[in-house]
Amino acid sequence: VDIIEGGQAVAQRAALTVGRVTLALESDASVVDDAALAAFAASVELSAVEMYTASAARMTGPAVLLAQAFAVHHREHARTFNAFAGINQVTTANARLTAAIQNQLDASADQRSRLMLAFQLENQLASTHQSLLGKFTSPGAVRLGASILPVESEHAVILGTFLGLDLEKDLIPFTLQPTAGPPTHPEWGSLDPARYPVGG
Amino acid sequence: MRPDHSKIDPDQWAEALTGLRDGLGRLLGAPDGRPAEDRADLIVDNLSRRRFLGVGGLAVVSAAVLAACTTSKSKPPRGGTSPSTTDVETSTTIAVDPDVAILRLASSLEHAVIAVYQSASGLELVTNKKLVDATTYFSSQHADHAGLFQGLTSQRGGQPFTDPNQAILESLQPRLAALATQADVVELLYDVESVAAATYLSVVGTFTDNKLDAVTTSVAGIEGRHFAVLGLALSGLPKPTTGIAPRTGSLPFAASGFQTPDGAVPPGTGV
Repeated sequence: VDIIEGGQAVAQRAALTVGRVTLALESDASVVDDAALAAFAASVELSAVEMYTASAARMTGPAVLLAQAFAVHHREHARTFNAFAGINQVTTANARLTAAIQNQLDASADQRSRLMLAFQLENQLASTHQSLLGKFTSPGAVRLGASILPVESEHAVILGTFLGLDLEKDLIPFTLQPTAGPPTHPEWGSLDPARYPVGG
Repeated sequence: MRPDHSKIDPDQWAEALTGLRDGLGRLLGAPDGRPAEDRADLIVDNLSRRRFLGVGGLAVVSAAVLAACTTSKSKPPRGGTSPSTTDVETSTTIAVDPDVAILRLASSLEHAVIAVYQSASGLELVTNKKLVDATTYFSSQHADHAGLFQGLTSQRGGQPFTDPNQAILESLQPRLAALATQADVVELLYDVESVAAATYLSVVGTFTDNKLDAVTTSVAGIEGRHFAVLGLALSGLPKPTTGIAPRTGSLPFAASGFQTPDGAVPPGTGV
């Protein structure tokens, strides 16, 4: 039985039957893991929404539009991850991440520093989704993460360009080692669910 | 040389943002209103449709003809719906490792993208130094990607595909032949990067070795970054690019907030 067809199945994992598929969801650890990971992803996406909402109020010019647009994207990402999170779905942002972001926002002296914070967070979110791709077992969840990662990468590049950052050094600084797996950037660590627990 | 962000007049920015604002107006006004469950279904349904690839460990590969991005007028809107012109398909059935078939398509696509960059570069239409540097850099990254996919093909006992995908190049030939300005070149590269990212998303979830999902997505992320840089140049952000009139139809990000497989190169094309 393919119990991991996607959000609907996971979202209703208390039920035994989803559509034409009979599920034994409660006993399947992979589904539970996917649901928990999706909830984590939703929580950090909501933290990004909060960051942009707070930042937009302190921005001027085109940066306001960007902040508003990207906040909409992150809200949609959170909603969609929540569809996979089932009973674990979250309605509030990741508390520890939001607190860390808020500290930096409070310390930010100007628009540039707020854009830089957004640039860093977008890169970290992209890295986080990259990391989660290796942990999700559901093809639907993998596919969802894969549909979001490029967009958050685009956000980062746009913000970095507004900041006047260097293309090769800052925006797309990846090095590829064909035998070693996907490209990485040493400074853009992914967000660790253990460090930023849902509800923590 | 880095642009001096502090010296850009906010009013000038606002003017340059006309196109972006049009796109954002649609986004902010109606973020499609689709329930998250429906969006999840949409994503998963796309995956399910592609399940035909894996049949008993074999792949049924269509020798397809690429119609996507034949002309700039027929290009699929990113995050929107594909035009019917992408639906050309069919024929030979061959048995291959499904992962190898996808990896060969990926490296052939990367080589085709490199060929497009090289052809465009040879015309010397791009005069903006930053764009010249950027496209040269992007081309080198595509070479890295091709090498990555070729190495993965070899690891799985397959024969790496080391040539540009001729079906893709033939489909792009009319646009290559019509290039006349710097903006034409940037728009073509923008579309090609979009197709590459869409293609990688289209195969995620179909690999028998799910480690390849992460690898492929990481490459899609880089194509997305290329797409954003080229989209910024076309949109005139953060300030207009010399020689390119800011336009409304080339946003530097997926308007829907999600990468979609729209415009993807169909499985089996040209390999």
